[in-house]
Amino acid sequence: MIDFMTFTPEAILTILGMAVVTYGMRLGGLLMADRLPQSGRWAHVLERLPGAVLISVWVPSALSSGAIGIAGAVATLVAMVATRNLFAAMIAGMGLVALGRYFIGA
Amino acid sequence: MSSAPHFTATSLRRGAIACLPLLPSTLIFGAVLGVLATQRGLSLGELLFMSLTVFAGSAQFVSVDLWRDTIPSLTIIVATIVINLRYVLIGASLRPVFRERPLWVKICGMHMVADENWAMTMAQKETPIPGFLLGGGIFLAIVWGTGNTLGYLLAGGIPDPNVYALDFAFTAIFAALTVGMWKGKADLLPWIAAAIGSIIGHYLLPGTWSILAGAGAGVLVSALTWPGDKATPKNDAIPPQSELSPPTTPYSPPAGQ
Repeated sequence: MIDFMTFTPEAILTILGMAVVTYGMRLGGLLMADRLPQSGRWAHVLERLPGAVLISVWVPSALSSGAIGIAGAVATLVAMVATRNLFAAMIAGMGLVALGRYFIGA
Repeated sequence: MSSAPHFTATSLRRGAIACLPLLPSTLIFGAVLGVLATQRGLSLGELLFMSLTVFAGSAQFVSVDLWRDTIPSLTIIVATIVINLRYVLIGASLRPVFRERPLWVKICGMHMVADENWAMTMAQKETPIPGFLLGGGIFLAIVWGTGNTLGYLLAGGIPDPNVYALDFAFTAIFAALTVGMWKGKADLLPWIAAAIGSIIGHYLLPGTWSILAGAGAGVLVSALTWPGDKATPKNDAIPPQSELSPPTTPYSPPAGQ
Protein backbone atom coordinates (compact mmCIF):
# COMPACT_ATOMS: atom_id res chain seq x y z
CA MET A 1 0.00 0.00 0.00
CA ILE A 2 1.89 3.00 -1.30
CA ASP A 3 0.58 6.34 -0.17
CA PHE A 4 1.58 8.55 -3.06
CA MET A 5 -1.08 11.15 -3.71
CA THR A 6 -2.25 12.18 -0.25
CA PHE A 7 -1.64 15.88 0.22
CA THR A 8 -3.12 17.26 3.43
CA PRO A 9 -3.39 21.06 3.69
CA GLU A 10 -1.46 20.98 6.99
CA ALA A 11 1.42 19.11 5.38
CA ILE A 12 1.52 21.41 2.37
CA LEU A 13 1.51 24.54 4.55
CA THR A 14 4.23 23.17 6.82
CA ILE A 15 6.43 22.22 3.86
CA LEU A 16 5.83 25.59 2.20
CA GLY A 17 6.78 27.29 5.46
CA MET A 18 10.03 25.31 5.54
CA ALA A 19 10.66 26.14 1.89
CA VAL A 20 10.00 29.86 2.28
CA VAL A 21 12.32 30.30 5.27
CA THR A 22 15.09 28.23 3.64
CA TYR A 23 14.90 29.98 0.28
CA GLY A 24 14.60 33.32 2.04
CA MET A 25 17.86 32.71 3.86
CA ARG A 26 19.62 31.56 0.67
CA LEU A 27 18.56 34.55 -1.39
CA GLY A 28 18.66 36.96 1.56
CA GLY A 29 22.29 36.10 2.28
CA LEU A 30 23.26 36.84 -1.32
CA LEU A 31 21.31 40.10 -1.50
CA MET A 32 22.76 41.25 1.82
CA ALA A 33 26.28 40.50 0.60
CA ASP A 34 25.55 42.51 -2.57
CA ARG A 35 25.04 45.55 -0.37
CA LEU A 36 28.41 45.16 1.31
CA PRO A 37 31.36 47.08 -0.15
CA GLN A 38 33.32 45.39 -2.94
CA SER A 39 36.62 46.13 -1.28
CA GLY A 40 38.09 46.69 2.18
CA ARG A 41 37.40 44.79 5.36
CA TRP A 42 34.04 43.30 4.33
CA ALA A 43 35.34 42.02 1.02
CA HIS A 44 38.26 40.45 2.87
CA VAL A 45 35.83 38.73 5.26
CA LEU A 46 33.59 37.52 2.42
CA GLU A 47 36.59 35.97 0.68
CA ARG A 48 37.41 33.96 3.82
CA LEU A 49 33.76 32.98 4.39
CA PRO A 50 33.44 29.89 2.15
CA GLY A 51 36.43 28.17 3.77
CA ALA A 52 35.26 29.07 7.28
CA VAL A 53 31.74 27.73 6.64
CA LEU A 54 32.99 24.59 4.94
CA ILE A 55 35.44 23.79 7.75
CA SER A 56 32.66 24.33 10.28
CA VAL A 57 30.49 21.85 8.39
CA TRP A 58 32.94 18.96 8.20
CA VAL A 59 35.06 19.27 11.37
CA PRO A 60 32.12 18.56 13.72
CA SER A 61 30.89 15.71 11.53
CA ALA A 62 34.36 14.14 11.57
CA LEU A 63 34.32 14.42 15.38
CA SER A 64 30.87 12.78 15.45
CA SER A 65 32.36 9.72 13.75
CA GLY A 66 34.85 9.33 16.61
CA ALA A 67 38.55 8.56 16.37
CA ILE A 68 38.17 6.86 12.99
CA GLY A 69 36.36 9.93 11.70
CA ILE A 70 39.26 12.17 12.70
CA ALA A 71 41.73 9.74 11.12
CA GLY A 72 39.58 9.64 7.97
CA ALA A 73 39.50 13.43 7.74
CA VAL A 74 43.29 13.60 8.14
CA ALA A 75 43.72 10.91 5.46
CA THR A 76 41.44 12.88 3.13
CA LEU A 77 43.37 16.12 3.66
CA VAL A 78 46.76 14.43 3.15
CA ALA A 79 45.56 12.65 0.02
CA MET A 80 44.11 15.86 -1.39
CA VAL A 81 47.28 17.86 -0.76
CA ALA A 82 49.36 15.04 -2.29
CA THR A 83 47.25 14.23 -5.34
CA ARG A 84 45.02 17.30 -5.86
CA ASN A 85 42.47 14.75 -6.96
CA LEU A 86 39.06 15.03 -5.34
CA PHE A 87 38.01 11.46 -6.03
CA ALA A 88 41.29 9.99 -4.74
CA ALA A 89 41.03 12.05 -1.56
CA MET A 90 37.43 10.96 -1.02
CA ILE A 91 38.29 7.29 -1.52
CA ALA A 92 41.25 7.58 0.88
CA GLY A 93 39.05 8.99 3.66
CA MET A 94 36.06 6.75 3.07
CA GLY A 95 38.26 3.68 2.63
CA LEU A 96 40.02 4.25 5.92
CA VAL A 97 36.74 4.79 7.77
CA ALA A 98 35.14 1.70 6.19
CA LEU A 99 38.18 -0.47 7.04
CA GLY A 100 38.41 0.95 10.54
CA ARG A 101 34.76 0.20 11.24
CA TYR A 102 35.03 -3.29 9.76
CA PHE A 103 38.21 -4.38 11.56
CA ILE A 104 38.23 -2.41 14.80
CA GLY A 105 34.59 -1.47 14.98
CA ALA A 106 35.74 2.07 15.71
CA MET B 1 31.17 40.49 -17.02
CA SER B 2 27.51 41.43 -17.02
CA SER B 3 27.23 40.27 -20.62
CA ALA B 4 28.51 36.79 -19.71
CA PRO B 5 25.90 34.04 -20.09
CA HIS B 6 24.07 32.93 -16.93
CA PHE B 7 22.94 29.37 -17.53
CA THR B 8 24.49 27.56 -20.49
CA ALA B 9 23.99 23.88 -21.27
CA THR B 10 27.74 23.37 -20.89
CA SER B 11 27.86 24.95 -17.44
CA LEU B 12 24.82 22.99 -16.26
CA ARG B 13 26.44 19.76 -17.43
CA ARG B 14 29.81 20.60 -15.88
CA GLY B 15 28.13 21.42 -12.58
CA ALA B 16 26.26 18.12 -12.64
CA ILE B 17 29.39 16.13 -13.47
CA ALA B 18 31.29 17.82 -10.63
CA CYS B 19 28.72 16.45 -8.17
CA LEU B 20 28.88 12.91 -9.61
CA PRO B 21 31.13 11.52 -6.80
CA LEU B 22 28.29 12.32 -4.37
CA LEU B 23 25.78 10.14 -6.23
CA PRO B 24 25.96 6.94 -4.08
CA SER B 25 25.79 8.76 -0.74
CA THR B 26 23.04 11.15 -1.82
CA LEU B 27 21.00 8.24 -3.19
CA ILE B 28 21.37 6.16 -0.03
CA PHE B 29 20.61 9.03 2.34
CA GLY B 30 17.65 9.97 0.17
CA ALA B 31 16.45 6.40 0.57
CA VAL B 32 16.97 6.48 4.36
CA LEU B 33 14.80 9.60 4.46
CA GLY B 34 12.19 7.80 2.35
CA VAL B 35 12.08 4.93 4.87
CA LEU B 36 11.76 7.40 7.75
CA ALA B 37 8.88 9.13 5.94
CA THR B 38 6.89 5.87 5.74
CA GLN B 39 7.23 5.55 9.53
CA ARG B 40 6.13 9.13 10.20
CA GLY B 41 3.08 9.18 7.95
CA LEU B 42 4.13 11.44 5.10
CA SER B 43 2.89 10.46 1.68
CA LEU B 44 5.50 9.96 -1.04
CA GLY B 45 4.04 12.96 -2.83
CA GLU B 46 4.49 15.14 0.24
CA LEU B 47 8.05 13.93 0.71
CA LEU B 48 9.00 14.67 -2.91
CA PHE B 49 7.28 18.04 -2.66
CA MET B 50 9.45 18.76 0.37
CA SER B 51 12.62 17.54 -1.34
CA LEU B 52 12.07 19.85 -4.31
CA THR B 53 10.88 22.94 -2.44
CA VAL B 54 13.05 22.81 0.70
CA PHE B 55 16.00 20.88 -0.77
CA ALA B 56 18.12 20.75 2.38
CA GLY B 57 19.08 17.30 3.64
CA SER B 58 19.74 17.79 7.33
CA ALA B 59 16.70 20.02 7.88
CA GLN B 60 14.54 17.47 6.09
CA PHE B 61 15.80 14.65 8.29
CA VAL B 62 14.98 16.55 11.46
CA SER B 63 11.60 17.69 10.13
CA VAL B 64 10.48 14.26 8.98
CA ASP B 65 11.63 12.86 12.31
CA LEU B 66 9.46 15.44 14.11
CA TRP B 67 6.47 14.70 11.83
CA ARG B 68 3.34 13.25 13.51
CA ASP B 69 -0.32 12.78 12.57
CA THR B 70 -0.93 16.21 14.09
CA ILE B 71 1.96 18.04 12.46
CA PRO B 72 3.96 20.24 14.88
CA SER B 73 4.28 22.88 12.15
CA LEU B 74 5.80 25.66 14.21
CA THR B 75 8.41 23.39 15.81
CA ILE B 76 9.36 22.04 12.38
CA ILE B 77 9.67 25.49 10.80
CA VAL B 78 11.71 26.85 13.71
CA ALA B 79 14.00 23.80 13.56
CA THR B 80 14.37 24.37 9.81
CA ILE B 81 15.39 27.99 10.38
CA VAL B 82 18.00 27.02 12.96
CA ILE B 83 19.48 24.19 10.90
CA ASN B 84 19.49 26.23 7.70
CA LEU B 85 20.81 29.51 9.14
CA ARG B 86 24.14 28.66 7.52
CA TYR B 87 22.50 29.34 4.15
CA VAL B 88 22.63 33.05 4.95
CA LEU B 89 26.42 32.73 4.99
CA ILE B 90 26.47 30.35 2.04
CA GLY B 91 24.32 32.79 0.08
CA ALA B 92 26.60 35.67 1.03
CA SER B 93 29.68 33.77 -0.06
CA LEU B 94 28.16 33.23 -3.52
CA ARG B 95 28.44 36.94 -4.33
CA PRO B 96 31.31 36.47 -6.83
CA VAL B 97 29.27 33.91 -8.82
CA PHE B 98 26.34 36.33 -9.18
CA ARG B 99 28.35 39.55 -9.44
CA GLU B 100 26.76 42.10 -11.77
CA ARG B 101 24.04 39.71 -12.81
CA PRO B 102 20.34 40.66 -12.95
CA LEU B 103 18.01 39.96 -10.06
CA TRP B 104 16.09 37.24 -11.91
CA VAL B 105 19.30 35.22 -12.25
CA LYS B 106 19.83 35.44 -8.49
CA ILE B 107 16.20 34.50 -7.84
CA CYS B 108 16.41 31.48 -10.15
CA GLY B 109 19.93 30.48 -9.21
CA MET B 110 19.65 30.54 -5.43
CA HIS B 111 16.95 27.94 -4.91
CA MET B 112 18.84 24.74 -5.68
CA VAL B 113 21.79 25.54 -3.43
CA ALA B 114 22.82 22.64 -1.21
CA ASP B 115 26.05 22.35 0.75
CA GLU B 116 27.47 20.00 -1.87
CA ASN B 117 27.03 21.96 -5.10
CA TRP B 118 27.88 25.19 -3.26
CA ALA B 119 31.19 23.73 -1.99
CA MET B 120 31.95 22.33 -5.46
CA THR B 121 31.29 25.76 -6.98
CA MET B 122 33.42 27.69 -4.49
CA ALA B 123 36.35 25.28 -4.90
CA GLN B 124 36.66 25.87 -8.66
CA LYS B 125 39.84 27.67 -9.65
CA GLU B 126 37.95 30.18 -11.77
CA THR B 127 34.64 31.50 -10.48
CA PRO B 128 32.00 29.57 -12.43
CA ILE B 129 28.85 31.10 -13.90
CA PRO B 130 25.54 30.44 -12.05
CA GLY B 131 24.76 27.55 -14.41
CA PHE B 132 27.50 25.46 -12.80
CA LEU B 133 25.88 25.88 -9.39
CA LEU B 134 22.40 25.20 -10.77
CA GLY B 135 23.53 22.15 -12.76
CA GLY B 136 24.91 20.56 -9.60
CA GLY B 137 21.71 21.44 -7.74
CA ILE B 138 19.44 19.91 -10.37
CA PHE B 139 21.57 16.77 -10.47
CA LEU B 140 21.53 16.40 -6.67
CA ALA B 141 17.76 17.06 -6.57
CA ILE B 142 17.11 14.28 -9.10
CA VAL B 143 19.32 11.83 -7.19
CA TRP B 144 17.84 12.92 -3.85
CA GLY B 145 14.25 12.50 -5.09
CA THR B 146 15.08 9.14 -6.69
CA GLY B 147 16.56 7.98 -3.38
CA ASN B 148 13.45 9.18 -1.52
CA THR B 149 11.24 7.21 -3.89
CA LEU B 150 13.32 4.02 -3.67
CA GLY B 151 13.40 4.18 0.12
CA TYR B 152 9.70 4.88 0.32
CA LEU B 153 8.78 2.00 -2.00
CA LEU B 154 11.17 -0.49 -0.40
CA ALA B 155 10.36 0.79 3.12
CA GLY B 156 13.41 -0.93 4.51
CA GLY B 157 16.04 -3.25 3.12
CA ILE B 158 18.23 -0.22 2.48
CA PRO B 159 21.91 -0.94 3.11
CA ASP B 160 23.24 0.76 6.23
CA PRO B 161 25.20 3.78 4.90
CA ASN B 162 27.66 3.50 7.79
CA VAL B 163 28.92 0.08 6.70
CA TYR B 164 30.44 1.40 3.48
CA ALA B 165 31.34 4.71 5.12
CA LEU B 166 28.86 6.37 2.75
CA ASP B 167 27.99 8.70 5.63
CA PHE B 168 31.62 9.81 5.57
CA ALA B 169 31.50 10.78 1.88
CA PHE B 170 30.16 14.24 2.71
CA THR B 171 32.80 14.84 5.38
CA ALA B 172 35.53 13.65 3.00
CA ILE B 173 34.34 15.73 0.04
CA PHE B 174 34.05 18.87 2.16
CA ALA B 175 37.48 18.34 3.72
CA ALA B 176 39.06 17.79 0.30
CA LEU B 177 37.32 20.83 -1.19
CA THR B 178 38.63 22.96 1.66
CA VAL B 179 42.15 22.26 0.41
CA GLY B 180 41.12 23.56 -2.99
CA MET B 181 39.78 26.78 -1.45
CA TRP B 182 43.13 27.77 0.01
CA LYS B 183 44.04 31.19 -1.38
CA GLY B 184 47.08 32.01 0.73
CA LYS B 185 48.21 32.68 4.25
CA ALA B 186 45.41 35.21 4.82
CA ASP B 187 43.20 32.12 5.14
CA LEU B 188 45.27 30.49 7.87
CA LEU B 189 44.09 32.27 11.03
CA PRO B 190 40.39 32.51 10.00
CA TRP B 191 40.42 28.80 9.14
CA ILE B 192 42.03 27.83 12.43
CA ALA B 193 39.47 29.99 14.22
CA ALA B 194 36.64 28.29 12.30
CA ALA B 195 37.96 24.85 13.21
CA ILE B 196 38.35 25.74 16.89
CA GLY B 197 34.98 27.50 17.00
CA SER B 198 33.19 24.55 15.43
CA ILE B 199 34.94 22.06 17.74
CA ILE B 200 33.92 24.08 20.80
CA GLY B 201 30.42 24.41 19.36
CA HIS B 202 30.28 20.67 18.71
CA TYR B 203 30.89 19.88 22.36
CA LEU B 204 28.93 22.72 23.96
CA LEU B 205 26.04 23.51 21.64
CA PRO B 206 23.11 21.42 20.37
CA GLY B 207 22.49 20.42 16.77
CA THR B 208 24.01 22.41 13.97
CA TRP B 209 24.92 25.46 16.05
CA SER B 210 28.54 24.32 15.75
CA ILE B 211 28.49 25.43 12.09
CA LEU B 212 27.49 28.93 13.11
CA ALA B 213 29.99 28.99 15.98
CA GLY B 214 32.81 28.03 13.63
CA ALA B 215 31.75 30.36 10.83
CA GLY B 216 31.27 33.18 13.33
CA ALA B 217 34.75 32.65 14.72
CA GLY B 218 36.16 32.62 11.19
CA VAL B 219 34.35 35.83 10.28
CA LEU B 220 35.49 37.55 13.46
CA VAL B 221 39.14 36.59 13.00
CA SER B 222 39.16 37.47 9.30
CA ALA B 223 37.70 40.89 10.13
CA LEU B 224 40.38 41.40 12.80
CA THR B 225 43.22 40.20 10.56
CA TRP B 226 42.25 42.43 7.63
CA PRO B 227 45.59 43.89 6.54
CA GLY B 228 43.92 47.19 5.68
CA ASP B 229 45.94 49.94 4.09
CA LYS B 230 49.10 48.05 4.99
CA ALA B 231 48.17 45.68 2.16
CA THR B 232 49.71 48.13 -0.31
CA PRO B 233 53.14 48.55 1.27
CA LYS B 234 55.71 51.19 0.36
CA ASN B 235 53.16 53.02 -1.71
CA ASP B 236 55.05 56.28 -1.49
CA ALA B 237 58.31 54.61 -2.51
CA ILE B 238 56.92 53.82 -5.94
CA PRO B 239 56.72 56.80 -8.28
CA PRO B 240 53.15 57.24 -9.47
CA GLN B 241 53.75 56.22 -13.06
CA SER B 242 51.94 52.90 -13.27
CA GLU B 243 49.55 52.11 -16.08
CA LEU B 244 46.81 53.49 -13.90
CA SER B 245 48.11 57.04 -13.92
CA PRO B 246 47.19 59.05 -17.00
CA PRO B 247 50.02 59.91 -19.36
CA THR B 248 51.33 63.37 -18.69
CA THR B 249 51.41 64.26 -22.38
CA PRO B 250 48.36 62.74 -24.06
CA TYR B 251 49.36 64.13 -27.38
CA SER B 252 52.84 65.15 -28.45
CA PRO B 253 52.95 67.31 -31.52
CA PRO B 254 55.12 65.82 -34.26
CA ALA B 255 58.68 67.04 -34.00
CA GLY B 256 60.05 69.53 -36.43
CA GLN B 257 56.80 71.24 -37.18
